[in-house]
Amino acid sequence: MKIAQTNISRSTFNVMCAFLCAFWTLTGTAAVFAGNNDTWKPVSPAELAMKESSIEKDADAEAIFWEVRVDDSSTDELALNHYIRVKIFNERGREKFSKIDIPYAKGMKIKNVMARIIKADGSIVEIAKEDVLERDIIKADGLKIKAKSFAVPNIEPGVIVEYRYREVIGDAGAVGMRLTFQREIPVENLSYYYKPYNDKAPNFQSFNMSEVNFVKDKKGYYLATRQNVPSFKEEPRMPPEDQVRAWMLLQGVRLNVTDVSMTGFTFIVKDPSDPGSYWGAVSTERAALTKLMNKPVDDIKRTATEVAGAAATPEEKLRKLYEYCQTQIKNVSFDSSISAEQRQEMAPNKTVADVLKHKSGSGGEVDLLFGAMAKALGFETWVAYSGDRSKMFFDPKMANEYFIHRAAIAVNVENDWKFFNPGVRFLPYGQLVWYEEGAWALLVGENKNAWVRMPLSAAEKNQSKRTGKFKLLEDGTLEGKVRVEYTGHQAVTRKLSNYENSSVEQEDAIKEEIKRRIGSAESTNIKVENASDPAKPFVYTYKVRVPDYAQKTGKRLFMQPNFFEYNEKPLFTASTRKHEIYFNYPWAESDVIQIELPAGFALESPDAPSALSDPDKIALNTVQMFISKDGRTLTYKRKFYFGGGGNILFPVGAYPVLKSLFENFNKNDTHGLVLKQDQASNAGTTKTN
Amino acid sequence: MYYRKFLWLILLICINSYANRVLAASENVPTWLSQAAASKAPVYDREVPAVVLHNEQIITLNTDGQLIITTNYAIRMLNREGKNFADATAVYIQSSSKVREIRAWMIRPSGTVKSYEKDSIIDQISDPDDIYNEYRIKIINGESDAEPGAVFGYQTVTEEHPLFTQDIWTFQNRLPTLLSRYTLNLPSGWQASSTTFNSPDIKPSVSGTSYTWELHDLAPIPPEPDSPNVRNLAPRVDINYSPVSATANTRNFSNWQEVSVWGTELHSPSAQLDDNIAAKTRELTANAKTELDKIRAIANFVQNLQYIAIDIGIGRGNGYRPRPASLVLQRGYGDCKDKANLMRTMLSAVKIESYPVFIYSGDPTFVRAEWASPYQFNHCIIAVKVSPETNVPTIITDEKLGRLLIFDATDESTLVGDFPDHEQGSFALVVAGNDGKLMQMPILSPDNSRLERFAEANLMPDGSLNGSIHEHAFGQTAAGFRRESRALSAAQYKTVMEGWLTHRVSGAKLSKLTPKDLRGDGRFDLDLDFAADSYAQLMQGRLMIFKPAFVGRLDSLTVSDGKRVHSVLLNASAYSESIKVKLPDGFVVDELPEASKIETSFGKYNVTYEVKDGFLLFNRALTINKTEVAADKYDTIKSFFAKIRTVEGDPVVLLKK
Repeated sequence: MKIAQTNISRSTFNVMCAFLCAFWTLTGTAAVFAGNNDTWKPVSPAELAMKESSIEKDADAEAIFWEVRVDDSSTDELALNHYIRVKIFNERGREKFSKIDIPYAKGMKIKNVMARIIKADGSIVEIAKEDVLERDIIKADGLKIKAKSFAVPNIEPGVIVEYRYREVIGDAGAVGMRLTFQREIPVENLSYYYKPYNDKAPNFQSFNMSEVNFVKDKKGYYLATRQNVPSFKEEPRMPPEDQVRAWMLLQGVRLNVTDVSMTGFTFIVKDPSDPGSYWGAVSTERAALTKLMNKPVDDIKRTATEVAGAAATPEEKLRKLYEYCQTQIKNVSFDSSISAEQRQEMAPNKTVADVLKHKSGSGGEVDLLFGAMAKALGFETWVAYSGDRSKMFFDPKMANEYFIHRAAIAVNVENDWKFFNPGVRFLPYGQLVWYEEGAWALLVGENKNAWVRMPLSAAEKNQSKRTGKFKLLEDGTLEGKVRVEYTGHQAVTRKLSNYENSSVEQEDAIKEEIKRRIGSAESTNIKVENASDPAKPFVYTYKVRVPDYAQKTGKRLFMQPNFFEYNEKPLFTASTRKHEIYFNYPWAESDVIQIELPAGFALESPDAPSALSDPDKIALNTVQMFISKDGRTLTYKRKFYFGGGGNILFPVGAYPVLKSLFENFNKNDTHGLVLKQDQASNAGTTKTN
Repeated sequence: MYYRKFLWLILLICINSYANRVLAASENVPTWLSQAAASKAPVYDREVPAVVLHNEQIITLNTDGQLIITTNYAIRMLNREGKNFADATAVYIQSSSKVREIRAWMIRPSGTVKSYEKDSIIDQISDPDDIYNEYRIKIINGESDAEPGAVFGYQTVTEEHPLFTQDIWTFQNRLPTLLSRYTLNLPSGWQASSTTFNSPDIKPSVSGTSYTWELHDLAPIPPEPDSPNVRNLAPRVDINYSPVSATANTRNFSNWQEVSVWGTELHSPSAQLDDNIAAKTRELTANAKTELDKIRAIANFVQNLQYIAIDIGIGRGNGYRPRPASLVLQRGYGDCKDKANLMRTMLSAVKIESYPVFIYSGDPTFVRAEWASPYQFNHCIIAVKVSPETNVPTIITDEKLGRLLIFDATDESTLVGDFPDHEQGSFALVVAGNDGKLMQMPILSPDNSRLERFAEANLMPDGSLNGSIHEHAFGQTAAGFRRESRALSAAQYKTVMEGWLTHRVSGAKLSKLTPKDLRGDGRFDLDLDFAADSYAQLMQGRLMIFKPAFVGRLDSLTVSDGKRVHSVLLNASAYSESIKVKLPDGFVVDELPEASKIETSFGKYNVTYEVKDGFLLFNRALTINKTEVAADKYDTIKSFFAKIRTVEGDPVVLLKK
C-alpha cells in the first residue's frame, strides 16, 4: 500500500519542487532540522569570534551547520525539519541572508518557523512570530504557492543568523528526493538525518562525493554528513551541474504491475541496489513500446516498401525511410505554424499506423513510425534510451530511470547498431543530438536488451566553413562578400534556434551577431539558406563594409587578415579553476579569405604564425598566407579543430595548458600584417606553415 | 473495447463543448473590441512588434469617494516578438483595492475567438524580491495562443479609494497606438483640469461632469541608446479633479507648498528623538570635530543599514510615511524614507536641522514643475542644512532654507559630497512645511567623477609585457567601482579584473590586485601588477608593433545605425591616463602615432606620445560634460567616438637596430 502511495506522491512532489525552485532563495533551498525540539543549540565562543570562513577565506558567509531531518516513517506524510546556523562575514553575506522566504505549495505545510540573530557580543535578538508573514505568492486555477517570509533584523557582518522550520508534505514519500550536499556558501557540517519508511535501511546513490554514507543514528534515523564543504561555484565550460556538485538521490525498491488477466497478474520489481536486475526490469516494462512499434501493420509495410523502392543496400533503404519520415510526416513538435486551436483539433495518434494515416505526429511518434517501417523491411529495430550529457554523464551503474530518456531508434544493420532520430526536425540522417552522442544507451527489444555507448561525431562533422573575398581601401576600410556554412551540430543548433523566426528575423539576428563582434561593421544583403532543410548545411551570406578595419599611420596600414576572428578574445581568462573543463562536442573551422590590397602598399616583413598542434591530435591550428605574383592579393587559409579523439572533457590539472593553448590559438587567429606605402611589392609566397 | 468507446464519448463531449465555447466566445466579444479588431493600421517598420488598437481607461468617481476604473485594451501582434504583449494585467493593493473583473479574448486571424475563462487568471505578488509589499497583479497571459495578425483584447474593472484626487494618463508606450482615450466621470458639482506634457496642449471634451482626453494615430517611439526615457517622450496629461466648492475628505494640490505641508505632516511624527537614538548618535559622532564630520558619521551609519522595501498600508498613505525612527534603529533595516527619517532624527540629536526630499529615482528629467503632486516621486532622500563652514559640491542654496547639503542615504556607495548621477539635476521637493519648495538638485562637474590612471610597463625584446597599474577613482566613478567591489567576492573580483585586463592584453596574468575603498578620502583606489607573455607582435625578428593604450578603451558609447530620432543624454565623466613604457633594448622607434586633440561642445579628448630616454610616454584624457545633444547632432557624437576608436588603435612601430 505504501509503495503505491509513494509512486503517486513522488511525481506530485517532484512537480511541486520544480515549481517551487524558481522562487526559493538561497536559504530556502535546503531545509533545517532541529527535530521536534524547540530549543536552540548552544553557541560556542569560537562561533561568536569567527572573523572569516575556515573553509574559504573570502566567503561572504559560512553555515556552521546545515541540517535536514527527513522523516519518511509515516504512511501519510513526509516531514522535513530544517535547522541552519550561518555566520555573516561581510556585506554580501548580509545581503544574502537579510530576507528569508520559505515557499510551499498545496499539500505542504510550513510550521514552527523560528529565527534569531546572535550578535558578536553574544546578545540575542529573536524574530517575533508576528514578523513572520504568510503570503500568497501566486494563485492560479486551483494551484497556490505560498511563502512564509521574514526580514532578519539587525543583520550585519559578525552576527550569526539561525532559523529553523518544519515542512510537512502530505501523501508523499522520500524516494526520489535529491539531497544537496554542497551549498552556495561553505558549510562546516552538512547533515541529512533520514528515517526511511518501514524501518528499512536507506537506499541511495551519491554523486560527486565518495566519502558519504548513511550510518545508524538515534530514534530510527540514519545520518549522512559532510564536513568543511566548500561552496559551489559555476565556471564557464564546466560539465553540467549535476556532474560536479555533490548530491544524493534517495531511492527504493518498486513493484510495478505490468499485466492483469483473469488468471492473475504479472509484475516487475525494480531494485536499484542491483543495477543488472534493475535495468532488466526497466527493459521488461518498456518492451511494450518496442512491441507497439514492431507490430506488423499492412499499411506500414506497403508504404515502407514503396518508399524504399529500388534501394539495394540497407543504408540506402534506411536513408529513404528517414527522409520520408522527416519530409512527408508533419512533425507537430517543430511546427510553429500550427495554432493552439489547430492542435486541439488534431486527431490523436493511438497507434503507430495512425501516424502514417494522419501523416502527422509528434517527434517521438515520427521516430516510432521510422522504426516500424524499418521493421517492416526486415530490420531488427529496438528503442534506445540514453543519458543526456547536457545534464549528467550517465553510467549504467546509476540504477535509476531518472537518468535516461527515449533518444532514438536503434536499427541492427549487419550486426552493428545504428541510431536514428528523424523526430528531431533538422537532424540529418546518421546524426544524433549532441547531448546523446557519446552517452550510454539502453537498447530495448521486444524480449531482450543491451547496453551500448552511442558514437561521438568527429570534429570535421561539426564544421564551420567561412570564406570571404574583400578589398582593403587605402583609408583602412575593408569591404567585401562573406559566406558562412555550418554542418553537423553547428548547423542543427542554428536551425533549431532559427526555425520559428521569419526570414527578416533571421537576417536581423545575423546582423546583430556581426555587430556584436565588430561594432562599426555595416552588413547588407544578408541571405540565409537551408534554414529548414535537414540534409543541407546551414548557410548565410552577406556583404560587409568596415570603416577603419586597418589602422593607418603615416606610412603604414596594420591589418588582421582573419576577418572572422577580428576582436575575438581567448576562451579562458581566469587564472584559477575549480571544475573540469568540458566542451559539448568536437568541432572544426576552416577559413579561406582573399584580400585585395590597396594600390601603392606592399607587405612589410610579412610573417605567418606557427602551427599549433599536440601529439595526441586533440587540437590543431594552422595558418597559411600567400601573396599573388602581382603583390596585390593576399590569400589567407586557416584550419582549426578541437576535440580530436573524442577528447572533450579535461581534468582541472589540464587548465593551465588549455588556457595557454587557447591564448595561443587567439594569438594566431588575430595575427596582424603590416602594409607599407611606396615600397616594391613583395610578390610570391610569404610563408607556409 | 468498452474502454475505447468511453474514450470516444469523452472526446465527442470535449469537441462539442469546445465548439460551443468558441461560438459563445465570438458572441461575447465586446463591441469596442470587435470594432478595434476591424481597424486598419498603417505599415510600420519591421522592428515594430505590435500595434495598440485601443487603449482606454474610464474612471468613475462615486459620491462615496470610491473610484471605479475600467480599462479596455486591444493589441494586434505584428510579428513573433509581438506575442509578448498578449497579456492582460490589473494591479491592486491587497488591503485597499480590488479587481472586480478581468476578462480577455484572442481574436485569431481566421476570425475565431478564444475567450479566457476564470481558470486562466493568475494572481501573483508584484515583486518576488519584496517581503513587505501589498501590491499584487492579476494576469491573463495569452502569449501561447498569440500569433502574428491576431488581436488580443482585455477588459479590467478595479475599485479603489484614491489617496489624492489626481491622476496621470500616458497616451502610449513605445508601441504605435491608434486610439488612446481617458474618460473621467465625476459626481455632480465636481470639476477637472489637466496639464499636458511631451505634446501640444491636449484639451478634454467635456459633457457635464464627464471629461475625455483622446489622441489618435500615435507613431511608435523606437528605443535608442542613451535617449530620454519613454515617459518623457510619450504624450501625457496630469489631471486634478475636485469639488467646485471645497469639501473635506479630498486631497488635491494646487502648488508645491501644499505638497510640502502634506509631506511634513506625514514625516514629522516619525522623527521623534529618543534615548536610544541620542545614545547611538553620540557614539557615532564622538570623534567628529566639524559639522561635516558629524554628518558623515551619521550618514555612513544610516546608508549601511540593510535596505528592506516596506510597502504596507499603501492605500492609507504609508507609501509616503516613514516608520518611526526608533523602530528603524531597533530593527536595523528600512527603506528610503525610513533611512532619510532616521538620519534626520539622528542629526537633530546633534542640533543639525534637515528635511526630507521627495525625488524621482532613475530619471532626472521625469519630475515636472508644472504639476504639483506626490505622484511624481518614487524615492526619498535628505537635505541637511549646513553652515558656511561646510563646503562640498552637493550644496544648493535657498533664500529661506539656507545652504542645503543633498544626500541619498539609500545609495550605499555614494558618499556625502557626492550624488547619484541618475538624480543629478532632477527637480525634487524639499519637504519643509510652508517653506518647502521644488528645487533643482545639484549637477556635479565631470571632474567630481574623474578616474586617474597611471601605468608603468616594460616591453621586452620578445614582445612580452609586464608592469603595474594604479587608479584613483572619485565621485560616481568611485561609487561604481565600490558597488562592484561590494557585490563580488575577492575571487569573483579577481576574475572580473583578469577579464578586463586580458580584453586588450591577451593572456595577461595578475600577480597583485589591491582594491582600496578610501571612503574618508572619497576615493576608490586600485593597484595591480601584471605580466603577459606576448603583447607586441614581432615580425621576422625585425619589426615590432604594439598599441600603447593597453587597458580601458574610451570609445565605449553604444551608437545606433540609421537616423536618430531622439536626443542623446550624456553623463558627466572625466578620465586621464599616463602610461610610461620602457622600450625593448635593441629597438628604435620607427613610427609614432601623431598627437591628437578633439574638442566638441559635449566633450574633449586628447592624446600625446613622446619618446624620452628609452621610454614611451603616452598620455590621454577624455572629458564628457553632462549634456543633452539634439538628434540632428548625432553624427557629431558618432564621429567623436569613432575618432577616439581610431586613435586608440594606433600602434607604435619599432625597428631592430
